[in-house]
Amino acid sequence: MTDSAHDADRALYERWRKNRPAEAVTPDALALARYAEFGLDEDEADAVELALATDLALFDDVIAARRRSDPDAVPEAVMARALALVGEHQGASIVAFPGRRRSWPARYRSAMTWGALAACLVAVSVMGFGLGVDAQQAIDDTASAVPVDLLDGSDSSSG
Amino acid sequence: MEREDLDRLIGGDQTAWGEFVARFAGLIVAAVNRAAVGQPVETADIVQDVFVRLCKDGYRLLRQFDPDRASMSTWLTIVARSVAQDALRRRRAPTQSIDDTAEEHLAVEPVIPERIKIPPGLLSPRQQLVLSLIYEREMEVAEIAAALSVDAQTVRSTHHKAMLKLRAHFKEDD
Repeated sequence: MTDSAHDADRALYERWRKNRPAEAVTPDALALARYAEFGLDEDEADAVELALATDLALFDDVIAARRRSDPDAVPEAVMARALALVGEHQGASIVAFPGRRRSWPARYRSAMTWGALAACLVAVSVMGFGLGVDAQQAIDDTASAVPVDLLDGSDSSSG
Repeated sequence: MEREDLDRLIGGDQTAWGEFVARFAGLIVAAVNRAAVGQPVETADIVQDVFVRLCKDGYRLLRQFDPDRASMSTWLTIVARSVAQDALRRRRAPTQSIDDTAEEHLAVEPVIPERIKIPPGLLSPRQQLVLSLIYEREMEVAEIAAALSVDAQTVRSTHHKAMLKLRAHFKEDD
């Protein structure tokens, strides 16, 4: 086939591809496996080939399955993770977390929040006031213990 | 795999699972490695994904397998590749910044799609597959013949008949 004829055919194919009706149904893995092993009758094979024509990745899967390449080495960690999927949790009982308590309605939650804030402010105020009184008392006690002449501003050094 | 072994497996027998993993892990690793070749992914995670899918929901996927209709190796290869491709799709960047997009790829003029009614069944499934392999995969006739287990002349004939149908259809439409 000449290049120009091939290009013309390609263009025709593209026109068809962009407008083709959606007929294909994605086959499951078993259907693809049976197709790969030539185990389907004509109608079943037609359905699979319709899907392969639409999704060439499925065609690659079939070809890869037919080639049956040699198995690769399996790292120990990979093996261990796979083995751990079954058996470790056999017979385990599933314990549900206790359900959440019903929360208060929003307006009550808001009132409780502001109330708690107010109570904190009152508590801090009372503590502060108490500490302030104690401090003043301590200052007063100290002042009364100091000799008067030290507080006297007159000059006693003269003379 | 014998049906008896499969029944033990989907019955949750831990020994059966161990035997299954030991027997088929290499095949699954190979299938994932080949599906993910050149991709920056952690194939060990994908392999684990495969095993998880096989045993989750009460071995739902394994229950779909019928040892009388296909071999486990073929079926597992297809399952493993499918899981690998799902993983690769998830890892692909979903978006690209418009600033990084070449201007010719931005729509600057409205593109009016051609609307042609093509009746279902215009091309047979085999014809559609041959055309896809020729024009999308750029496969040679001999390669397609080997893949479909037919001779090269059959592929050429299939292609020829398909093109005749398409030319006739589009000529009517034009």
